[in-house]
Amino acid sequence: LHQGKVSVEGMTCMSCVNHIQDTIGAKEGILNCTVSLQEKTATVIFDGSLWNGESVAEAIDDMGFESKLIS
Amino acid sequence: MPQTHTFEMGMTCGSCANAARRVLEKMGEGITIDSIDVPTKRIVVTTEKSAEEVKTQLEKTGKAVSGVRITHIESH
Ligand SMILES: [Cu+2]
Ligand SMILES: [Cu+2]
Repeated sequence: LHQGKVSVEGMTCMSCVNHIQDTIGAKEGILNCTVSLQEKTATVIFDGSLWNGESVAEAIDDMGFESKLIS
Repeated sequence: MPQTHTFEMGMTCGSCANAARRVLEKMGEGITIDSIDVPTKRIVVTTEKSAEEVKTQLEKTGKAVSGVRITHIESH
């Protein structure tokens, strides 16, 4: 299992947070997605055979929230 | 001929609207956003693209999208 941290721009409230956590967290190979409104980040635990940090950021970006890999 | 399409999307706040705007802008040229209104949950676009294509793109936000309506633009 791998962990990645990505930036998430454009969230304004807890419903954005929950929405991203639920949508990303429901994808195959994503074990956990924790979003911080304050830090503007998402910490994601994923199966390294299906995902990498870049593709996680891309999935969030595709939802309409600008996202880039931090670590 | 471009057509105007109205969609209903489960937007709850301004950032839902921004997310919708961003995914639509990713479709590139050939689509004009006429309006995005959170209170009525309505999104109006004018495009040569099919309503299905736009709906699929909006669904990438993870929000429910429905109520597709096509309005033909009258040529004057
Ligand atoms: Cu929000
Ligand atoms: Cu929202």
